[in-house]
Amino acid sequence: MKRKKTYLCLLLIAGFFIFSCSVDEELKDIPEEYVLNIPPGFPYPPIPADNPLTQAKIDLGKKLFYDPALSVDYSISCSSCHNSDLAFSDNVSISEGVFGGLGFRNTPSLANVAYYPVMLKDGGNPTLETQPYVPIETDVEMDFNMVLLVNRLNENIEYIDAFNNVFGKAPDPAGITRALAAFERTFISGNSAYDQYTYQVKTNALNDSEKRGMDLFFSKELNCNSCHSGFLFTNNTFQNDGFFSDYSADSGRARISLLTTDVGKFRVPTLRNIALSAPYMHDGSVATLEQVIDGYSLGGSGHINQSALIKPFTLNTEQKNDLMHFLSTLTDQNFIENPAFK
Amino acid sequence: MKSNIFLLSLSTLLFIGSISSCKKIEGCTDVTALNYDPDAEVDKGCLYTGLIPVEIHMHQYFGDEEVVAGTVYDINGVQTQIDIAQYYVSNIFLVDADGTEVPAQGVYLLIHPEEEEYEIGDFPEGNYTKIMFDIGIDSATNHGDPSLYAIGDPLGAQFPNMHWGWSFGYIFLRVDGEADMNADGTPDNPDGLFEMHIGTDHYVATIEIDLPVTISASSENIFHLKTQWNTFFTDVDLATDNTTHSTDNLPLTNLVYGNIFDMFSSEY
Repeated sequence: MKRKKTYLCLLLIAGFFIFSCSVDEELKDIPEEYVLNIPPGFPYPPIPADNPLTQAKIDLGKKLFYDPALSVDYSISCSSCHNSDLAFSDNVSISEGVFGGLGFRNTPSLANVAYYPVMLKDGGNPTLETQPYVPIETDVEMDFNMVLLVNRLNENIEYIDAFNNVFGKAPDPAGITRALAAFERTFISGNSAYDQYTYQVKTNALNDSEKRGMDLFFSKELNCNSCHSGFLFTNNTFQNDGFFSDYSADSGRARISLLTTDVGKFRVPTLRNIALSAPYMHDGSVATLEQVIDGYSLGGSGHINQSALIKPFTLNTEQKNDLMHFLSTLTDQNFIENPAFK
Repeated sequence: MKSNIFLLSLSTLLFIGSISSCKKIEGCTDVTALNYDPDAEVDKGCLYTGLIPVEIHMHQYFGDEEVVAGTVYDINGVQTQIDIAQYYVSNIFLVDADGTEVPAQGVYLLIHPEEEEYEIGDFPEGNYTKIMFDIGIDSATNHGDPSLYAIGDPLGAQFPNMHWGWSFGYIFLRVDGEADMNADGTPDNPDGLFEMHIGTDHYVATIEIDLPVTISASSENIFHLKTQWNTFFTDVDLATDNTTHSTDNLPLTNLVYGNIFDMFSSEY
């Protein structure tokens, strides 16, 4: 009997403890966390503590991603250069900004950006949350300004409602950047034929030519995977691949570090969906994958910063075709057709 | 009996826990105050006995003229319209007669010609001989996320822009204008549009100015400083080499960075 009373007492106290204040202050407005659908072979990506994923935030990020109001003259949106049909890349050497402006780098695919430790080809921008400043404010991209964009969104009742719903406040720089980052974190691409073969044990997902190409890709002689490694097919290091001899138009990593030893070094790009993202290399100056392979087979220009891993190799026509067939197996059809991105 | 005491303590703890979980600790939250309480979560008032609010007044000149955006100046023989001229001041110290350096805590100022008066916080009464400050922003803050500051905060998003996305950090000093490139005696637009944007951790400039100021309840407590923009352009030929975003034109960046050290002085 005594024991029963004690339990009752404890229960009451515990109940008081739980309901004392937290319901109103904290629990009520926390929406359910959105859980990413992670393919076999992929880890769960890091999610910053200040930007948890929610469905409403992802929806708002998508609305922003597709809205040309982010550009000064309402002419282009993020999606103008990051086309979901092309794994969020583009099919031109240099994408046009507002008023026909041209930068000097090829648009990268945004597939799996959630996993990248730094942004941009030179690593000059640290996170997905800070990256949106680059396209929004660069003159040859959207040529706009964060303050003016905030003012513009605050004239739009749909945005005011959506930002209040997600962040509990009107549109501001923190909300804009976090919503865009949340949407981009959902760009997980890991269901290519290669993934089905490797991680989902579907032995017929690759044909014989593709399997031979895979063996070449991972072979000691070609050594592609010394840089294009892991589940992302990049080790995210900065490398000078010796593909060019003159980097005066774009010094790459040196633009940020100011080190001469970094001239011509760029972050190793992922090869996922590579068949969709022609043209190639940092400036989009190489039209086809075959030309990229031919270029690498020469062993590099001998630039002073060229990676020691770049060495000449010889492939016969069949081997080259096999290698290209393998690279095409990195295309993720489900990813580019995903209605959540449209 | 033992278990009863245990349960009693447990329930007491839970009860206290339930109170303190909502109630925030009150006290003075300002580190510069005399009664600063590091545990305080809610500000309940601070004491600043002996501390006096101090301002700097930044008077900006081109030669003998006050700088006004949109004005055309003769810069080393090149007619040049200055459209934007602004910079960050931070890491401010007042140095007293004994050589003690008293910092202005957490003060970041965005200085532009339209505004002359800037508060730099509260300082102890005394005789000061020198003011020191950086043109630029410390590395940790420089690479922080401007989205975390409200619009209107000097470190928040600005229009005109004072921050780079591509090499993530603030533009410490920005001059935009139109130079006479074709020597017809008038600034050219668009051909003569130029941008001098100085930033990155490499280009913080620490300035020291000897300036005796007595801070007391009966003084004006203002450091009157002068910015000479023509000094910024010493040896710059705006008709031939006028644009840098710091890392893309190092010779010009290094030239004007050197000039920054000479462009500030006391007003009197």
